[in-house]
Amino acid sequence: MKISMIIGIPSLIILPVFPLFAADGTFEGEISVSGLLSDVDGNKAKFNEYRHFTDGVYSGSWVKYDSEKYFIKGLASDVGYDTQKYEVEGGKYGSFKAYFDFYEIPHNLTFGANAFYSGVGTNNLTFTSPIPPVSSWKNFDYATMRRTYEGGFSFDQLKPFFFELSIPHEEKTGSIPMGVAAGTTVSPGSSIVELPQSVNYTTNSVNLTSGYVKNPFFAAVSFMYSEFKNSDSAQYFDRLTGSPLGRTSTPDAYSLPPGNDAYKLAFKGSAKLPYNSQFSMNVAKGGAKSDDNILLATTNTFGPIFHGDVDTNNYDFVLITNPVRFLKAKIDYKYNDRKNNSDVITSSDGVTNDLFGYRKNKIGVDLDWRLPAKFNLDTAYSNVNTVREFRDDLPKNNDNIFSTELKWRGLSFLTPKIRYERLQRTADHGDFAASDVEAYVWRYDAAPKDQNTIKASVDINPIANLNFTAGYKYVDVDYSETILGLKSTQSNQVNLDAGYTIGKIAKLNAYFDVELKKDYQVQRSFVGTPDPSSQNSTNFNWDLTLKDNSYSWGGGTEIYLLPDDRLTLLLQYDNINSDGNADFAYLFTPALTGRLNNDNIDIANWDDYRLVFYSAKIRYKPAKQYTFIAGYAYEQYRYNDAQLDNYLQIQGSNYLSGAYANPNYDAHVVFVEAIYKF
Amino acid sequence: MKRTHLFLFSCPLCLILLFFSLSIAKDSSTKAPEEKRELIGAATCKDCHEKQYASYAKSVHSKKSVKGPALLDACETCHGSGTLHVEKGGGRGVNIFAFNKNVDPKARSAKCLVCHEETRQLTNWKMSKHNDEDVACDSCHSPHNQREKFLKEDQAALCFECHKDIRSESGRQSHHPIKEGLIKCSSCHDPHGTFGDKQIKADTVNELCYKCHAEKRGPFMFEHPPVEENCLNCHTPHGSNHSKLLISRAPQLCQSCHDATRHPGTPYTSATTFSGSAPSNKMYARSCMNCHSNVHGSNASSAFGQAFTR
Repeated sequence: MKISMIIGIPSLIILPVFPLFAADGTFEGEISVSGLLSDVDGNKAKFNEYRHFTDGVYSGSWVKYDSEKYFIKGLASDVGYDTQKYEVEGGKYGSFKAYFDFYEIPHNLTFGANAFYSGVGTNNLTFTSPIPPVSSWKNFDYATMRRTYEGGFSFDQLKPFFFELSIPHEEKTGSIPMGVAAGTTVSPGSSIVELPQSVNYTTNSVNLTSGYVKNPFFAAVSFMYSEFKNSDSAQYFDRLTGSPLGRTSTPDAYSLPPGNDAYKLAFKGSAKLPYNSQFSMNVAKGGAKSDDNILLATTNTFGPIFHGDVDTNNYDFVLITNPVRFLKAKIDYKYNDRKNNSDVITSSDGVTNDLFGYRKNKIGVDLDWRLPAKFNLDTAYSNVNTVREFRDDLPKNNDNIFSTELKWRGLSFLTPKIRYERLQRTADHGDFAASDVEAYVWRYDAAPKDQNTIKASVDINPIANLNFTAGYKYVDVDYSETILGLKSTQSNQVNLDAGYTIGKIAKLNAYFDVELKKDYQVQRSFVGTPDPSSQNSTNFNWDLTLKDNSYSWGGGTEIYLLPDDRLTLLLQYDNINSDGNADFAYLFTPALTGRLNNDNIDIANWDDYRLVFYSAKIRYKPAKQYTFIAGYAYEQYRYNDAQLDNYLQIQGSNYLSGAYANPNYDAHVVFVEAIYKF
Repeated sequence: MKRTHLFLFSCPLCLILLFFSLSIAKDSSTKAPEEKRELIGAATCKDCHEKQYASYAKSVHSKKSVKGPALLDACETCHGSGTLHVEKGGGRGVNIFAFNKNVDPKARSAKCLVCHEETRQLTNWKMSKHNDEDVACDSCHSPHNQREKFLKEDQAALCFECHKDIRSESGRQSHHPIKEGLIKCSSCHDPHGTFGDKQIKADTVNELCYKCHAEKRGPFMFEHPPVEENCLNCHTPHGSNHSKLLISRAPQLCQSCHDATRHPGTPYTSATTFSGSAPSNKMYARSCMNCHSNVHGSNASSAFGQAFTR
């Protein structure tokens, strides 16, 4: 299937095009061969999360035939590896174009995970009691592979009319971690098991667009259809129950994403109007349907078909006018909704599904003023109104967003800019009794808030070969009404960057980024009254200050050892750090038992990591056609986190498979590459 | 009340700005139209600008089958008449239209739009954020460059020149494979303008995410409303210090919405980690997702599906 598609579809595209080529064209291309040797000590999955660096020979090439009227080009890279990519494109300038792409994207999560279940990679996991020791568990990898094949065609021969077609086909396979509670009741609470969930997805899509573009009009109709198929409706596994945990005769099951069909029909258009104005619109209707038998979780058999049916509508209208040089104005309106027409089913335990939906209306005005002395002032206001169905806690939002930005372009070598944005959100909160915790919980996604954002930046180019940029961003969010939940967020971010070229000798660059983020939330632990105003040792409030600080810095240089880029030394250094911290406080200290107190319950290592990267390579170009590169790179990753420290695969009666555990690695890579251009 | 304040604030501000602007308008209206000059022809340009001419000759701009410079005035289509430039003996920007920072970005883009105004990918340029921010076509493209789409650099490096905060985020431990080159900024964003926020190539964030993550599309029997409304309620798209591109960690991320009796309201402190005095399976390893794996939606019936545990 794969080989035939790789060879067949490009051939279908290329063959009709070749006879059209005249002899007057040019043919050029490049072939590269690389050799790589690596030594990875530690977690190879994290090192190769989205890569495939292994000992071996890599090859790549691109070719292009170009004539006055026709062109055809092809590209291949990482041939035979998990990141391989192939592209073929050809056509006639101004008339038509056809292409075919194939590429792979790996996502490696954890290599060498293990479980006592058999059947990893399938949707049926089994084992035989008793649970064996970890040393007897079976090894497997948590990883997925995405393979995309896409062909497309565009036709412009009949200008001003145009037509575009693309047909992507995507396959995603592999295993990802999933967790289940052992036992038969909905809240077993005591034991968990981590298992590999099979991934066998296929997505077929068709995108069609046809339209007309000629001043002063543009109009296009597009249609998208996407079909998602999942080979497995459920992940079956032998249920664990009893004490000690053992296999029961009844298999358990876990519902997997249902197959679905989605479509979208859209019209986009614009018209240029007098006074340098333009009116644009976008009207779209879409939807998604799924028809899948529901998993009867109490018996682990399939029940009636659930007809999932969601419709979406979107309308955008934008009027932009620039009647005079000093003013550009924009008025825009957006409507977006999600209507849920799915089945409502009441399960045997009396639980009924809700049909969540929403409507959003947004209107905005933006005035961009060109002021004296090369000042630019942009002022904008928008209002967003959101109405939700089946969100009893926060059914309505009203956002007022005001922003202003001042920019000065008075000096060609210095451009400062400052922006302020304020978002004021109000919300309707459901009417809950004081005995219901919902009366106090305001969920951050829709809770009332005052949000202030300040952004400032400056670009400085005092001389042609020196540039310096500095950026600062401050965000402060105050969830003003929240009693329980996330109450505030602050972040300060600074980005500095500099580049300097020393004639024809060297090029230097360096950067430093820092972001200091702080969240504050208040929660309540309770068995009786949820009202935070009263506390005792079993009904008490606690708060948490989360710090998530990121630092990265690095630099690079290109040193031209021989003129005309014939011999160049390239050096790079990067250092990326994260420092997280969770500061807990019981707001009723008698609730702390044993030796615990508010000073010894904090978490100092909360997603802490450090990634260090060095590389040195030398590039030699003895002639225009040849390039030789040799280099060395070192990468070190250290991760330290309270949730994974001292990881145990069997902890009490909980069984873990090692997902994401111990991602540290040290990697040395030596590489050589030869490139021939023709 | 707040709206009234806003209105009262905006009106006088607009009047002041209008006053200033009219004074500029008076100045700008007095500018003389550009004088039409004789052309020198591409052959003359080539004498001094051999490298630039060679790149032009190799590019689509030199094709007579395409509406563009080859059918118009070649080099002088974009750079204007070279007569005075030659008479003055040449020099960078001397009596020639040069695409550099000293020239108004709108004027630079206008040169390209002479031909590209009817390019369908540019129909939204007028409402593009880049246009608003005075990013000119030549800020990213150079017709004398041999790269795909005439980009001045590889796409991510080019975008990161201005979007340094995104560069920083995309280097974090959990990220979309942008720096690995497996997806591009343009996989999600259209730099030439769209109707969506942040110039995304979809009407909503979820519509964009579903293009690659179709398994999250459902529709599920039991939905998680914030998930269905906006993926960015829990995820950040470019990079995060937390796994799965989450904006914060579980269990705190989950607890900030879910407070109730039993475990949702329990403080999971250092005491509940593997090394703590009371390890809890709600805290260590994958925390809440140790049981509630189906947080994006479930087609299991009963309370199991409602709680996203099956």
